[in-house]
Amino acid sequence: MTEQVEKPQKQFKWGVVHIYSSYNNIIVHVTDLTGAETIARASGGMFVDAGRLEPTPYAGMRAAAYVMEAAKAAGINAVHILVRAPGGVKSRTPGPATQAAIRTIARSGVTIGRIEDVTPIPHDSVRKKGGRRGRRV
Amino acid sequence: MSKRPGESKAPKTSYDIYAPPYFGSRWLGSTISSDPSKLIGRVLRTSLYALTDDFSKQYLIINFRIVNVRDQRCETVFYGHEYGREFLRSLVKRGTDKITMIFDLKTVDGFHIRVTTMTFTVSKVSRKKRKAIRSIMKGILEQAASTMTHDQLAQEMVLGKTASDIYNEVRKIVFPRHVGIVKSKILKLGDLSRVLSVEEQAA
Repeated sequence: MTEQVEKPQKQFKWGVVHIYSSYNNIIVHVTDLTGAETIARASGGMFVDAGRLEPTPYAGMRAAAYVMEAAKAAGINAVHILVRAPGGVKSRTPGPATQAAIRTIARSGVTIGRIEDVTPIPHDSVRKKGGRRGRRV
Repeated sequence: MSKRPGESKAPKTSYDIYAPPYFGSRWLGSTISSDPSKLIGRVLRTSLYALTDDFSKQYLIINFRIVNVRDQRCETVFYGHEYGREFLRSLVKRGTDKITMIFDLKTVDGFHIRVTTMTFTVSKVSRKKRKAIRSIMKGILEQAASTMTHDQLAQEMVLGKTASDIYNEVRKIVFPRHVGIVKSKILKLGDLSRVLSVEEQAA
């Protein structure tokens, strides 16, 4: 192993931002590279009062800004972003707060590595809830 | 929000994670822990681009698992790989075939590996040919695993040596668009003593 290879890379202290975004809420969670240690975590509900506002871009922006501040205080200056929707038999597209959260992370001044979709997608499926006649509103 | 954490928490120190010697012993990043024993078993996900500086390999994701900690240095072993989801999706095309074979391998040093191999063809092919292609994919990998240790096999799978062997064989039956080991997963770790002693020499 050569020293020259190591040095330029070592300036970065990497973290991973896990964004779980559904149509009901958003959770932004910063961990170390292995995902075993939490650095900061926030959800949409921490910044808005009404439940229906939790998945909004505004809540996503505030949650992302909050965790990035904490992450930068912990010395993180580069992140990978893993975006996740509920998946399975539920929605496979992330909620409306995702875009705002990613943009806020980019604006916070950290370097962004990979942005990856990690929505769990089954090769088969279980039966979707709601029963034979569907959800009756 | 949950309660504030107590004041008496143990301080956490930072540990550097390195790729195994057969992937260049590169510095991959760091992790924090209050106790080095808690590090063992953690898995780090990185792209082949980070290991080779070849941007065209961005789509390939490799997992490394921490098996040993010496001072502030975490040593890892290969713990599976997979194609990025977008890249795999881009290979699938209408009017062509995706021929998949999933099976388990056992290497010389006792690692159990589950591999997913795929061949993408230019047009639809008959069942007879699909069957023949699957047996080629299985045969070549089983032969490779029977003579190799996990590190050699991992290198050949990730860097495309076995895939090109399969390509050359499959080409005799149909013309493939793409052949690859799409995913591998370590089911059971084998004998680590050899890997660790190599790293000790390197350090």
